[in-house]
Amino acid sequence: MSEIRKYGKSILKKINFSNVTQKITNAGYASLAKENLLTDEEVHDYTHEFVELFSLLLEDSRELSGETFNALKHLMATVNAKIQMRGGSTESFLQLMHFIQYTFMDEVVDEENEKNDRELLFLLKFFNNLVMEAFRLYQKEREDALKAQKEEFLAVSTPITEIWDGVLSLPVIGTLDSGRAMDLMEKLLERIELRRSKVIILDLTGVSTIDTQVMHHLIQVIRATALMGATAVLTGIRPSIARSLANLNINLDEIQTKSTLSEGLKEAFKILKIKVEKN
Amino acid sequence: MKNNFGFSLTKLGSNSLLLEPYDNLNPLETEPMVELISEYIFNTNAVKLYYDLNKILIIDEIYYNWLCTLSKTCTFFQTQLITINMKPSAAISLSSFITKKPPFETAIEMQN
Repeated sequence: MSEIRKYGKSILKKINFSNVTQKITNAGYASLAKENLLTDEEVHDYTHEFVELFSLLLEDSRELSGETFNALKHLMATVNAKIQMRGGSTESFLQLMHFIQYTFMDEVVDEENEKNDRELLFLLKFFNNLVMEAFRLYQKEREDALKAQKEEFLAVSTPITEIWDGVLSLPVIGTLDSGRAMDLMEKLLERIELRRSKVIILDLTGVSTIDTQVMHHLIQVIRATALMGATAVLTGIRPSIARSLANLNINLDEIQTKSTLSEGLKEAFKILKIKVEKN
Repeated sequence: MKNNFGFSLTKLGSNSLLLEPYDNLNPLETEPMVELISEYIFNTNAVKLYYDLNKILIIDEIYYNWLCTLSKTCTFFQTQLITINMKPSAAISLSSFITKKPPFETAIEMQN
């Protein structure tokens, strides 16, 4: 869009910025603020920021990939995110953008002189581009947030806790796929190395289903644990999982199992030669 | 005891040995290494041989075969081979291809 070089300055001359700011702010109060999608202060601040950045952009007449356009893009993505977060729809945001666009176009239209079609076309293209970029950014931010949430969930769903000196407990919750099993194994082994742990209790109470592939992953975790010199005890196997395990063509000889977490802890004490007595 | 094969052997107490491999240990050159280690075990009457894996980041099939060969040699002298300080990355690589328990013992650290 090198058209900004051509039309930026001439458009700038035609716009009464305080008039435009007032119109957009009033429209914002009447729609977005009224529907509680933005506060009055937000409408006021965002409008002023938008108008300031837009005038700067026209004045600079630089490429639309520069700093000012980026700031404009981020501003509109933030406005969109706020509207969506407060229960608004994409339509509310688009309506706002259309209103801003038409307000500027109105300023540029010269009733007596019809030779400003190119300037209007430029504004049309500019706002389309801005809306698209703001959406793209909003989308990316949402995807990043979802990814972060997923990572957080993974971290929370594999909480490795040292429940006794030298005993680590890892309750597995949810579905265990290849990626998660690998992540779990890495974290567990790092923790074994760090804490010099000798017994690991893998609790499957929170696992609803298990198939051959998942069991192979678990066996690899148990085997890797043993290679590091620790003993793994599998606990909390539900009857449905026990049935599946019995049907799987897997050698379970190297796996120590106990019915519950507390039984697993007793086994850990036995391995560590720890005697716990009631006073 | 230092040598040109890329490892050192240290006597620990009355009946244990510690083998520390360096980066230049060649796991394909098993024969001369086995000969040297056997001689040392024989002379010291060691009951345990600790193999420190602290510096080994990946254990592939070649390195595993070397450990198995060493373990087999140890059994001739009723010596127990125990690997210690295995790194998580080495444990992951090794666990991905072995199908049964290794013939040697594994421990987090040296036992008392």
